[in-house]
Amino acid sequence: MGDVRCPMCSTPNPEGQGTCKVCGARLTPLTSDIAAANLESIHPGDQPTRKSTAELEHALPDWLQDLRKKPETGELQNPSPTAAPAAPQPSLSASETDEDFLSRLESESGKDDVPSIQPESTDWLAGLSDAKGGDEDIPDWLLGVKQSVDEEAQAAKLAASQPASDNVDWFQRLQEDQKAAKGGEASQWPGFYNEPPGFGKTGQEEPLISKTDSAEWFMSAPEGKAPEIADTSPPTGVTDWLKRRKVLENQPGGVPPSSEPSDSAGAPIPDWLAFTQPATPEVESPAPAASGGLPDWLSDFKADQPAAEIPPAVPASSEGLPDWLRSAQPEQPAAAAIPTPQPSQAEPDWLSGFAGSQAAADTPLTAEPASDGLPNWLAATEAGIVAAGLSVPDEKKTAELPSVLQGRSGPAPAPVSQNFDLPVGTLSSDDDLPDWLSELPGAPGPVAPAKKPTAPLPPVPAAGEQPPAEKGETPNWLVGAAATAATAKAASVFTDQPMAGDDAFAMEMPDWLSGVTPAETATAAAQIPGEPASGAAESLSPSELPAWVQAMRPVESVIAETTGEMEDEQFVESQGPLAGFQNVLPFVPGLIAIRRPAAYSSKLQVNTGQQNNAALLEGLLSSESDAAKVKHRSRLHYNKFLRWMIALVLIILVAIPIVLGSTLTPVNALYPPELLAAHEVITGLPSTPNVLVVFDYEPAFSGEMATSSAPVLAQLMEKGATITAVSSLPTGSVQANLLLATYLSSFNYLGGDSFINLGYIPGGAAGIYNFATNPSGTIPVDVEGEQVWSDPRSFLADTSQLSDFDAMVILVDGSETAQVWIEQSRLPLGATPLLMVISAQSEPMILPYYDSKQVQGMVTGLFGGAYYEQITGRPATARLFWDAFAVAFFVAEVIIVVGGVWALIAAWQSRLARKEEEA
Amino acid sequence: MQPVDIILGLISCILTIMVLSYLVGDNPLFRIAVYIFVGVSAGYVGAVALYQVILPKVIMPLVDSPLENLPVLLVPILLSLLLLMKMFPRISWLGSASMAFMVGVSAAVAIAGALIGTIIPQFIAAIAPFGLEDSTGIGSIVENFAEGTIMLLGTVTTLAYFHFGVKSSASGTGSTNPVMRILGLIGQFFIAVTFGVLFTGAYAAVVSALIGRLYFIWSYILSFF
Repeated sequence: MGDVRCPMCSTPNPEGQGTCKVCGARLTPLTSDIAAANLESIHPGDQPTRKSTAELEHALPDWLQDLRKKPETGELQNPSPTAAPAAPQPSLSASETDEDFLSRLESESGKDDVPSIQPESTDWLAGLSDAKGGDEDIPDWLLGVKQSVDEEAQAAKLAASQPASDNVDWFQRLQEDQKAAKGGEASQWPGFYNEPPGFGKTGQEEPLISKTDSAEWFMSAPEGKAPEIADTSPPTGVTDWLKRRKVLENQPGGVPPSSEPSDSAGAPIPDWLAFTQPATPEVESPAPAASGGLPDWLSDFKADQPAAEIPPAVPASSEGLPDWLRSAQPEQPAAAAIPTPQPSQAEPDWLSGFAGSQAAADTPLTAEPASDGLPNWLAATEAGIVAAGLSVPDEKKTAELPSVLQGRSGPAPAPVSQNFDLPVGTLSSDDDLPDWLSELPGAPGPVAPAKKPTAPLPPVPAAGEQPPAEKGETPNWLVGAAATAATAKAASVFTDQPMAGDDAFAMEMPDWLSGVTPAETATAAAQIPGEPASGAAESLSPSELPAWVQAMRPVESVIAETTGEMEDEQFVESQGPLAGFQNVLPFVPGLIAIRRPAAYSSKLQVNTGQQNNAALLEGLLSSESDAAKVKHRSRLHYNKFLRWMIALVLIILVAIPIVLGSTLTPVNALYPPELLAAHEVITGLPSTPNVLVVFDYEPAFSGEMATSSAPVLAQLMEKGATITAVSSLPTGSVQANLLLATYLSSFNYLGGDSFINLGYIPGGAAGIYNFATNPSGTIPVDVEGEQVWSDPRSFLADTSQLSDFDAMVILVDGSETAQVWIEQSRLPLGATPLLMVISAQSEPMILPYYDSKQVQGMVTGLFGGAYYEQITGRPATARLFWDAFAVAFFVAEVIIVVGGVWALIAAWQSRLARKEEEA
Repeated sequence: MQPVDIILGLISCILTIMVLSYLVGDNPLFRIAVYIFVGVSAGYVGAVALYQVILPKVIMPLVDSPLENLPVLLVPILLSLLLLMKMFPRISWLGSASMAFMVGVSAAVAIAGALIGTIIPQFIAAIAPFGLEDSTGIGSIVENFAEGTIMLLGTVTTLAYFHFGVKSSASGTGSTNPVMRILGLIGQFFIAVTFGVLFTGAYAAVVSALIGRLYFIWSYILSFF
């Protein structure tokens, strides 16, 4: 297909397209750079590789690594939170001169523990030769410088005998260049001339940091000659030229003013660097305020270096200065006439610093950070330039200029006064200042807005605010430039048209210089310091981040889209204890009601119930330690002896009447009404009634049932009743035969024609219901298998239903069976009387049926039998059992009474004992 | 006395004594007597079921008139055979239909009989004394009314005694209704009287059984003399 999917939005794009048509992200990853850095290419969906900042330190340019080193009392802030902790940057005291600062830088660079690929140095051009290609080509001016550096290094090797403190000794090379100009040595371009971040051509996306890692071409250069003056301090990351300045300052008399600047070794320095000769002690100045496009290395220097007192500007010769610096040469008169520098919107921060310092013409620089982006070393050199009154002929300046700037030398442009914060007159004359310095923009022209550095920069004074500075603390070479810029006509370094005589920049200006237009600079100047430039001046876009940054960038992030917005929304707190901090939540008065906290009583609010519970708990806890008394527990014995004795007494007493056959116990005449009713019913039956007798009692109760039912059946038999026996129990038919054979044997019903034993009714309650509704169908034959219902000889031939019987007598020992018979047969019986002979144990449950007139008569137990025998006048077995029965009840009554009394006495005694125990 | 009677009597006496030996505790004689009783009862019941149910009601009709009786007896025979499957755990589910039929019929008969034979008649009988329909005079009226009142009081108080509802209070401890508490006390009296009557009846039945057994033994002994 050939479509390429966007790594950000996954939108298919035609092959060959550089950016996504939807989101604008870069389609082609920077794999070459990643590969060069030995980093794994990032694929969509990959999880970002967490790296510590120390690991990424090596990916930073050398010059950036060096600049990130913090001093001991440094004011320089860590430029990037992801970067390795910056090396301590030396802080400059007010009285510390440049040489002191330089020496201290050298000493502290040796303490730097930050690993870096390159030794601690500020050889910003060392890495130029090591650049393996990149997103942008190395400018020719840098290449020329590189070549000059190489030549210089080779010469230095031959001449130098002392070890180099650091590899980056560009200033030494500068001086050597001057020597070369005289003696054929090549010059070296100051490292600050590298493309600072943020500056680029208009509309072009420039990488934030040059991939070429400009310091590399510095680093690749052979080590320059060490300063001749012995320096006991350990090497730092400061250039040797700064060391020389420092040495010169330490010399008695300071830097000897000479018409021709020369280094400590006596070698003449280029005219354009003649102002670097230190003349006044450096003034300690804190790190410069955050300015828009000021590179970190420049801002760091500005923080480290003391704000040198800017002497009256001595305009240096503008012939040897770059145009952009030449224009910055201050004009002579009146420092008071210098208008307050207004940093333009498009003005880079490092240049805006120049404008700010220019406004404070007479105000010496103090320890406060300079508002401009001018490094202190640059400001200090300005003072040197002024003091030295250096002036280098143009041709020498031109010859000393590296090839980068050679084409750009020309008539110095009008210095930009308000872009410098140096006091007026502090800059040297045009003859003394290098061209590049004299051409520094002094007019409040539009300056291209600088890319805001990632590291928080020191605060900058507001627009128009003159930074405090102490006289003599700013470099001499820059003082003059500031003074010149204050009075010079406004001229912008960044102009659309090439400046007159700006041959050095004609061929190829740095992006940060060449890409700025007047419109952009005006926009930048109008911006409030500290805020990033808006509009199209944003030179960097997320899609062209350097490879080492892009390697750290998560694939899923949308930093590029939100960075600008976040930057626009950031603001600096201006009041309160958090003044100067960024991204502070705004204070809204009244949002938080500040009041005294409510006072709460520490007294517990408890009620009576809680107090009682607490007291109870306390009592329980206190009783835990007390040993509980073991109560004497009487064992519950199984009193077999008592049971035996009762059984023995009862058996003996019951057996005596039986054995003796006594009938001494009279039967009382208080007959129960149900018994009398039963007697009346039977008496009222016709002769030879057809009676259905149900034998539903167990064999265990046959003694009682037989005794109680015998007189009832005897009365029926005396009436000549025909008895039909039936039972819902399997043993019922046998019980019927046994009763008739033993207690009623005198009537000879068994085996006769007046007795039919139908046998067993199966099915329980359903069978009884079935029999009650259809007797012949339920039991068609008797126990002998004869068809009694259809046999004409049978007295059941005319009986087809239950109501055809004259009476029904149910002999039952249990209340459940009695209830079932009553429930199922009461309705089918109709008007036929229903009599029941029940056991004494079921009388309480069956008696309500008599009360409800469902049962017409009832004989209960042995005493019912005895009563019935007495009524009928036929004493039988019940009368024999009556004496024993009475004795048994009497014994039971005695035992109950004695036992009750015994229980009462025992309870009373136990109560007394309990009271004694409690007492 | 014939020898069979003597043997049977002797066995009866021995078994009676063996059962009465439970007074000293559980002993082998008592267990033997119990086992014998269970076995004999089971055998007798089986014999009765065979001779008085299966043969005359299933076998004989099929033998005498198979064509006439088979359609009628087919369903009972099938259900009976399925009920026998309850003896085998794997196929016991086959007897579920027969069990369901039996349970359903029994439940229907029991519910109908209880409703018609017990609840309604007893309910009517409970309010009959207050109807004064059978009263023949003031005396009977008073008697019936008193009888009804006592019966009603006993019924209500007995039910009140078995009321265990407690009213919750703020202190967490429950409190009962004072009226219900008094009624419960009266109900306890009626319950106690009822338990006494039940105990008396049970004691009378047991004593009667004891007297009968002792009389049988003494008669057996006297038969030898």
